[in-house]
Amino acid sequence: MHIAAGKCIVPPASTGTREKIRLLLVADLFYKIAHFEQGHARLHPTAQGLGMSAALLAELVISGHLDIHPTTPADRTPPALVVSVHRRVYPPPDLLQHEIFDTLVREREQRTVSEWLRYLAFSAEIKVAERLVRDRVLERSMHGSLRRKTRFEPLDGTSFVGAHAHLATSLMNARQLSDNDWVWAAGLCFATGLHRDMVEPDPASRSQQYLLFLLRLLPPAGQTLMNTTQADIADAVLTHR
Amino acid sequence: MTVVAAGMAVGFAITGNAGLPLVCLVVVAALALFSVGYVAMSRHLVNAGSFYTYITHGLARPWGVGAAFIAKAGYNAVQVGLYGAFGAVASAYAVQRLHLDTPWWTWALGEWLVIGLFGILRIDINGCVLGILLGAEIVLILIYDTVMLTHPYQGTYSLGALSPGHLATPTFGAAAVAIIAWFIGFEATTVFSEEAKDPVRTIGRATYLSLFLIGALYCVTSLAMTITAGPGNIVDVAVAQQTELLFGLTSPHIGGFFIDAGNVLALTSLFAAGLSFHNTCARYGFSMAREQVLPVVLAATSLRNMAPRNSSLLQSAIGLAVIAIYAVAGFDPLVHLFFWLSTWGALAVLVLMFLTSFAVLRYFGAKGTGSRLQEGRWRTVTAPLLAVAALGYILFQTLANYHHLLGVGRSDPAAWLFPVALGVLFAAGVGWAMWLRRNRPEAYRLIGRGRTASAVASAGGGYA
Repeated sequence: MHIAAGKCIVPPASTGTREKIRLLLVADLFYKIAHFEQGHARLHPTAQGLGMSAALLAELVISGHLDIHPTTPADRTPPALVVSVHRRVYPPPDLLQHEIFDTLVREREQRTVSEWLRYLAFSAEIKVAERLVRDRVLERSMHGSLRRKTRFEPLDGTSFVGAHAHLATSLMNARQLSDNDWVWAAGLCFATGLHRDMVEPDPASRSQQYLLFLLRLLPPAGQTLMNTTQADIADAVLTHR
Repeated sequence: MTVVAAGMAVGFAITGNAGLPLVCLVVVAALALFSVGYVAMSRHLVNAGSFYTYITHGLARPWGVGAAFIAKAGYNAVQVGLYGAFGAVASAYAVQRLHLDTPWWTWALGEWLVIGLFGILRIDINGCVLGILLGAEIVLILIYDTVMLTHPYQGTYSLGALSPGHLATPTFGAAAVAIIAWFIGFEATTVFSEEAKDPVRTIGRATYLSLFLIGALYCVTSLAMTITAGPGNIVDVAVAQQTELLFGLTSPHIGGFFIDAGNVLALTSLFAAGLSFHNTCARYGFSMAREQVLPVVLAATSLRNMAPRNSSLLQSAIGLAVIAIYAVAGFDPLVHLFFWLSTWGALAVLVLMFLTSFAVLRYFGAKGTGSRLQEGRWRTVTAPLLAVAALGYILFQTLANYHHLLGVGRSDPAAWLFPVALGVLFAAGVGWAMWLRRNRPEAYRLIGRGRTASAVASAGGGYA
């Protein structure tokens, strides 16, 4: 449902109380999949940053606070994609989601998805890591000559390996994914290229076809988000960012 | 330094035209006219493969794919040709300074190995280091220019190289294409239009500034060479000294340090140019593959460093094959590898610029008066028309006298083989586009769409 900014009409899409709502923290899941058990990233920092910022935007799309739709200004080719923020009675329940939501709301100018992705990419990974520290999934450690560099290390590395292995096995065997957040995580893996570690190289293979099937299960805003992330990463390859 | 040390020397020697400084001025003027419409187009279309995208949108998709094939082959040729120049210069320098007689291809293979590794590891020369090297090269060239200009041939200044008669000789086209090869890369500014804070102003300024500054440096240096060697002797001296021309002309009047520094900077410049063209080719291949014009497998990147891995490996494979063929056949690395291939690449760029000027005319014509009023008649009609005329004339002159560019007889097979190869590539591209239209319409629709050529939308598989 599209709701004009400022009109507070719709309660969260649940019949229960806030406590009963299961938060879909896609960024947390993607963080686990995109890191090795020692905490090292599997992706290049640019792809990692864009993937994490896409994951944060995805959380707001899932919670219904954000929509992404195409628009066609006369002088732009291809069409720009704009973010429209939905103000609701209830703000996003998660602290980090709330922070991102506030950032989106504060911006007066209409920004494209690509602009948001690149802006959020600067800090997305650290913000998600800090959320995982609060949830006691990661711990912060200092290293370097003057101990000024922060490193995030998993408290339980097997959960990181397990997340990656679970998605990879599900894709390889075309096994139904248990929850919606895994479908979103699969989309993020596709957008960042991480899926190439998980599926067969042949585009016609069962695993790749299953991944494409999963992508089509995402709502239009989700597909747009994945497309834009993928395009931004490809642009980063071309411009050597 | 690549151009001044290697390009100019071989340019004088092969084309036999002593009027390179004047032809350089004409080429700068033609490129400036071309840039007017080109920069205007960059404000409306953003894509890394500028020529290909503009031709696709201005003319038609089949034309665009034909242009893409030409562009890919042309840039590949320039990159591979640079191995020959590096090998020749390094081998000559090793003989002089190290008394080490090694074949050119050992140095070329060394460079190939390093560039290939840098390509797949996504290692680029640091911008700061490049800036220092470029600054040092410019300072050194200005010193050489001063030395040459203050030591004219037999004590008298002769501006014979600027005689308009040089424009009427049959070698004009060959000289013009050889000079266009010096400027390859100036068109890359539009790639960064999306990155620029104010693309409307910045890209235009960057393009014109690079064109005029580089043009002035090349014109003055080539003129200084003719003044110190004598306009009547420059061709013979260039034939005799080849890549040592610049150093041979200046060494009697300058300390050995400056000659050594020039040689070292020539090598670093050739290496930087080789690496830069390698990366350009790899990214061009990646860009075409993500639009499915080339096999999607070439769009695969490395997860860890985001290098366009497969496209880079293909470029390295082509380089190795060419070095091996030239080494086994015993061809001259400087003339047959560097000059022949880089000028063929320049011919490809000339054809692309010619087609792009047409595309600018048609693009703004089709968009209607709104866009024309926004950009102005000069940018959308007058300058592109003048560019079509100027580039068309140079192209005609080149194709009619291509044997001058190769330094062979008119009846030599190479004289028609190179231009025909471009035609075959263009026809192959057009044919491929027609095949895509019939058999894979969804891929055909992606042509020229750049970043929106998404795999999710097209269900064509991931590549990021």
